[in-house]
Amino acid sequence: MISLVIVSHSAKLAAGVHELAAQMAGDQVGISQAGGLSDDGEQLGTDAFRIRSAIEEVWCEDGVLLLMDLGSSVMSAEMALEMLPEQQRQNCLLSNAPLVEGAIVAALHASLGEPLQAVNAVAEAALSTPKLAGTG
Amino acid sequence: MEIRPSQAGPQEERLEGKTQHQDGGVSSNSHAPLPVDQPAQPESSLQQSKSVVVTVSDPRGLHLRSGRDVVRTASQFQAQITAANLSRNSNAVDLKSILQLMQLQARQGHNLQLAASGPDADAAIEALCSLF
Amino acid sequence: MAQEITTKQLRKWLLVYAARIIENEDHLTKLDTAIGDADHGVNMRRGMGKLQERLQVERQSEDISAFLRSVAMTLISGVGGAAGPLYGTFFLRAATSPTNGSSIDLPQLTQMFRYGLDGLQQRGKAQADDKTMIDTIQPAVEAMEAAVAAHQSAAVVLAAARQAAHLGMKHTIEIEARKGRASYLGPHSIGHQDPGATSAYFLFETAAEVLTITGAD
Repeated sequence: MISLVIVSHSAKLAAGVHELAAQMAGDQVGISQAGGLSDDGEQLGTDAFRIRSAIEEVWCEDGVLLLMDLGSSVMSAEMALEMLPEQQRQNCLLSNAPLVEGAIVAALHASLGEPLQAVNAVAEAALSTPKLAGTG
Repeated sequence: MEIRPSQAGPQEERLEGKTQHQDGGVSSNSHAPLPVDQPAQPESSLQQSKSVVVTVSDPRGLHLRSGRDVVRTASQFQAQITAANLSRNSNAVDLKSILQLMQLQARQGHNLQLAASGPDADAAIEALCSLF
Repeated sequence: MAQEITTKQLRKWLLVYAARIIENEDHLTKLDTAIGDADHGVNMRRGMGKLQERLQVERQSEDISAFLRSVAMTLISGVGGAAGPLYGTFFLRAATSPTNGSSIDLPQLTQMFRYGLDGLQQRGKAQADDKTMIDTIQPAVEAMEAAVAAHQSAAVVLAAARQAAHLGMKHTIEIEARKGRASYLGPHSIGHQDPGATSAYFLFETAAEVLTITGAD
């Protein structure tokens, strides 16, 4: 079963998305979060080292899917991957999915035991799934 | 695997007289009538197609958590399963997608048409009905 | 005779750079308010404060690669915004360039900047004329490479870098942003100097001031 890492500029947002995702996943899916800058996490921003730690916290052979908010989250997540040993990095994937929808979908499908690429595919489908009925 | 006789075409059953579940979740019609089997058609014996209408009974409507259970259940079946919100005249959406399920904007009292097609369509509908 | 630059001098350079950024916080904020989200000044000031602290306690680090890695890590954790991973990558990649241990010669210094630039381009995926810090750093590195090829002294090489960086920074006023938040403004970004290009310019301005003085403390 794959694991998820939630990356956000805000520690509170990361914790909130984590909470939502955990409800969708039950307790079998490893989920960790990296929100805000170092230390107290009260400063908004992203920190590649915190992201790397979050990956290490839940890393597993089945893979780790990273879900990010936007902007420098992506660059910091890329850096975090580069800091990992090759053998760990291979099983990590950055998702293009929107954070909230992507985390909900990914958590649910991860809990169904789907493989990394499949979970990412359904999470990224959130990009083209309108919220409001009749707008699609 | 049990191979049931296929249905000639989509059957629709109206599920009336729903009972509220104690837990407050999306409640099912526990008295859903079983489909009436049609004579077997050997050339399509693996294909089933079935459709029912269920009424949402949860006062909070079909929400994220109950939607999760619907998707989990639907995902156990090979059949393609869709749902349309008849009360909103919505298009049919994929019942294995939580985001599409949320698009139904299903509130208490809304009628949803569930339709399944595939080798285990009957079992899928039966299992799903127990969630509404 | 090759001029060598020591870890001590690089440390002095970055202390002066940190102070220069802190002095210019309001200026960077003003530039970023016009075309960004107004956080470049405060982000850089916070990161530079962390860098000053780190450089104060880490006086003993002699190895240049280890020193640059330590700078990178401080910036990655301390800056925030896009500038954190970008400056972090610049120094992280610079740390992988060849050195003589606790000193580098002028071609090695030039190569160090080139490594940093290459890392920056890979990270931010920006090209010249995208109105980013690349517009400052790329011409500066090219000017250094040309001056080194012409066997110029450290003072001349770094003065050339500073001048090219300055021109590059000013050039960002004339062009339309194609990367980062400023790119949302399209043609409206023209007429404004890029804040990232500005903070990057100070790298070369302070290098020209500090690194030519031998035996700086």
